[in-house]
This record gives sequence, structure tokens and C-alpha cells, in this order.
Amino acid sequence: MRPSSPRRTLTTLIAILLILALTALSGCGSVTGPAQEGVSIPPVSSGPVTDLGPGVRPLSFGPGDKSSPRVSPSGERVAFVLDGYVVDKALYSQGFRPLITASDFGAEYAEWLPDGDLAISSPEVGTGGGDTEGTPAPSSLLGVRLKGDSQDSSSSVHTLAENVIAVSAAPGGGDIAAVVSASPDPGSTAEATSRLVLLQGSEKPMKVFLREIKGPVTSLSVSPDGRLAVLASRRDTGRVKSRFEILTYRLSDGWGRRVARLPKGMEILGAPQWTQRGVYFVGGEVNGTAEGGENPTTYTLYRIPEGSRGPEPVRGVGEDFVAASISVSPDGGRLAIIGRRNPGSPTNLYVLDLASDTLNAATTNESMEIKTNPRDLAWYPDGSSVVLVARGAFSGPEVYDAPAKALSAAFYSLYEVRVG
Amino acid sequence: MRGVALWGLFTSVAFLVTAAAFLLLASLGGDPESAPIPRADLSGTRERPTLSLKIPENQLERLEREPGQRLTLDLENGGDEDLADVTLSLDVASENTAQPHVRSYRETLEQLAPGETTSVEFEIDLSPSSTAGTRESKPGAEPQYREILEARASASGDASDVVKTAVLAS
Repeated sequence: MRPSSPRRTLTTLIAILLILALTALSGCGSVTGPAQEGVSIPPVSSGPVTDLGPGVRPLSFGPGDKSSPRVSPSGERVAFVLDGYVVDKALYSQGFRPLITASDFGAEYAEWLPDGDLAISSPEVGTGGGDTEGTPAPSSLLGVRLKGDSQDSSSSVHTLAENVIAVSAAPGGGDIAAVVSASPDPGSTAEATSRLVLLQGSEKPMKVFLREIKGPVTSLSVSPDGRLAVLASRRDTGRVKSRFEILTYRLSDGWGRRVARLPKGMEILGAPQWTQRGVYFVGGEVNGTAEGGENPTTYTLYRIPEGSRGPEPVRGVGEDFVAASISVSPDGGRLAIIGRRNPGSPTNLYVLDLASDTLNAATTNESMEIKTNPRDLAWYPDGSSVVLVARGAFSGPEVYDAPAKALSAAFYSLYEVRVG
Repeated sequence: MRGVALWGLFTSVAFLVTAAAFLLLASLGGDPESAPIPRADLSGTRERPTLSLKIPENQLERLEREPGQRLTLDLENGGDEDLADVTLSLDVASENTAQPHVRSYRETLEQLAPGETTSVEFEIDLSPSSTAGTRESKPGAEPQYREILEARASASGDASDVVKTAVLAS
């Protein structure tokens, strides 16, 4: 046998090292494989097929009536109301944690505070359900401090404000504006008045604007840049029908102005939205019915251009378009609309590009029931997606091949719709 | 020269072993809450389950929200071996998660032969629980909560449960 030379030994060692390195590289892939798959989450096929079209995926599962989704300003979590209590969860995980565990809590909405905590509505005892003309009942606004991975943070709940009529935050997150009733006597016949307040965090003092808002405030939104609050107020004219007004308040100093006074008989559905091209709102003519009540015919999307005193129908959506709810994007350049192309077509999510006045369908719904409450529509803070609430149309008993907690379309669930 | 080469070899092997150990630990860890939303169910690649369960939809339509409702579930052993201790459970719950009242029923079969089909009848209470309708009675509250029937079958020695969920009309 010939003794090995130093060169041959070195060559052998280099070859062994190369083989080991290649083995390690290929082996690493198999160990971390599942983590890679977690980056992109495809739609789930448990239960019936989601008939909202491509680019739509469920964000929640299991039984329960879900509503009022809100994505956190960081874009990592989503909070929503589940059967009257509030839960929050990581955006793309199945598990969630209840924040208020009392049954029949009666929460109607939740908004993220700038410091990452949540503001939750809680009905006040004895306030009833508001008046018959759409004015919300006053509620208490509770602050819930989130403690990392705590399963129940009810111990950190405290009251932020009382007699709250309406609450809103900018679509991308930020300070929360609220309208607080200033009428001391619930039985008083005097015109209702209220004040605007600004919540900058669960432990920061509330900023109160002293200027009174006359007339019942029916809805509120905050402009995408967080500088303006936009309100709808119903003024009693002393005649049969009251008239709606749209007001804006500058959140830096409380300076307010009336943007428009709507024609008689026109009511506003949801909150008017401030955009780069004026104020948009969903409005409808209220007609009397045989029973003596009032029944709106159809709702249309209107715009009040800057400098104009009256609304005009938005032409970009088409003449027959029936609007239900709208929400302006965080950059102020688009409007998410839940509506129908015409009264006979299915409800879908549309996105109106405000610069070009063009409407694009974001869903291709065939058999889903999409919730049309204005609070059931929310943007991702980066404007890439919209969250809506929907469930499969239910015509009778159905059987699914999965546990109830893994089903999405069988119950009202949150869905992410890509629009970016 | 040979010493240097051997030192380099051992150092590299030690590095690779340590890296592999860390990767293994990382893959074992994970927060339960951060469990990702499951991937699409590739049912075509699954093996056919041995035990199959069926909730006849025509029976569901006849159920009323009262006590004493009869529901028959069908079980089948689709495998080629006997199944022992076949357990069939049925949970009845409201869709309203704020009122988590569950009525549970359970039956056990000693044996199910290959290819055998059997029916198991349950007498279930579908009457609304005393607290389930609290929110429905509020003016303007829109949810009409439905009843959910979740049936689960399992057998000893067969690791996979079979689950079916039925949602009844409100």
C-alpha cells in the first residue's frame, strides 16, 4: 500500500467538507419547511366554498355573530364583536382571546387606541335603543389595556367616557374622536346638544371641545389624515320632516363648519367620509308608507365637492347603483363600497378610485350574505385590503365535514379582500 | 499540515451539528395562539377513513326546537378490519357563543365489522335554553341564532376521529 501524500489528504478533506455543507443545506430546508408555508395563507376549504371570488380569505372561524372588525394600526391584530362581547386575535391565526367575558355584554363596536389598547362600547343601563329616527343610544366607552398574551384582561378595563353617541378613528388608526351627549335631562324637550371629544390613549387625558353641536348626531367619522371629524346631524325644523346636516370639526382647535344641509326628506346612512375630492355619503329619500311609517326607497352614493353647498350623485358608480355602506381608504384616495350594481344584482364589495372616478368590483359574490352595516367594513392600515363580514346564504339545514370551530362560511365570519 | 486540516474538519462538523440542533429546537417551539390558519384541505391526497359517519339531511328538516326530537346517525366501517369500542357523541349547542350551553349525548358500540353499516338513534332536546334568546328579544337586534349539532365518531385503535357538523335553521 502506497502512503498518502499531503496533497491527496488535503483534497480528500475539502471533498468531505463540501459534501457535509451540501447535506446541511438540503437538510435545513426540511426542518424549517412549515415556517415558510406560514407566510402565505391560502383560503381554507373547510365547509362550503367561499363564493366571494379570488383574493378573499377568511380571518375568523367558528360559530357566533361577528361584526365591527377593526385592524390594529400595526396591522398585526384584528378586534371584533362576537355575540356582544369583544375579542382580539392575531390577524392570520385561528385562536382568539375574549377581552370582555361577561355574557350578554352588548358591545356594538371596538376601536384601537393609538397606544395599542382598545376602546369598547358598553350600553348604559336604562338608555333604551335610541330614538326611532336612527339616533344611536348613548353608551359608555371602556378602555381595555391589552396585556401581551393574557387570556382575560377584564381586570384592566376602565371607563373612558360616558353618554357616548358616536365613535370613530381614522381608517389607518390614530386618535379616537367621540361625540358625547351634553343634554343633562333625558326628558327635556329642548333640542339635543352634544360635544366632541378626542381620546389619545387609554391613560391620557381626554381633550374636550367646548363648542356645542346642535341636533342629534347620527354618525361620525375621522378623515384619513386625522385632522377632521365629519358628523351627520339631524336638525329639527319644526315641521314634519327634519333635515340632515353634514358638519366638520378641526381636531386641532375645534373649529367647525357646516359643509352642507341636505334636501328635505333625504337621510344619511352611516357616517359621511371625508376624502381628497370632497365629502361622500350614502343618502336616500325617505317616503311615507301606507302604514304611516317611513321607508327609504333606495340609497345612493352622493358627493359634496369642496366649495359646494349641496350633494350630487356620484356618476362613477352608475345610475342604478344601490349603496349600503362606505369607508374611505387610509390614503384618502379610494372608497370601499358595499352595494349592488342594480337593485336585482348581488351585494358585493367595490372600490371607487376617486381620482379617476372608476369603480372596480373587489368580490364576485354569488351566494354569500354580506353584512351591510357601516361598521362592518374596515381597511387594513396600509390600504392593501378591506375586511368585511359575510356568511354563506342559508336556505335550510346543512351538514359540513368539519368541526364547528373550523367552519367559516357557515357562520358570519371576517373576510380579507385584497384591493391593493 | 494534516493537523490543521483535521482541526478544520472537526470545527466544521461541530458547527453543523450545533446549527442542526438549533433548527430542530426552533421547529419544535410555537405559540398556540399563533397557530396559522390551516392550509387548504387536500382531500384528494388523503386516505379514505376507515370509519365514516353520516347525518341524514332529510331528518334535519323535520327537527323542531322542542324536547324529544329523534335523530338517527349512520356509521359505516369502510375498512377491512373489525373496529372495537366505537364511540359516537353528539353535542347540541346554540350558535350564540355568549351562551355556551351544550347538551351532550353519547352512545358506544362494542364492535363494527368490516363493511357493516349501523344506525344509532338519539333522542335530543332542541328546546331553546333559558338564556339563549336574551339578545334576540332586544328591539333591533338582528341575530337569529341557530342550533348546531356536532357529531363525532371514534374507535379504539383508529387514531382519526370523524366529525360532522350540522347547522339547523333558526
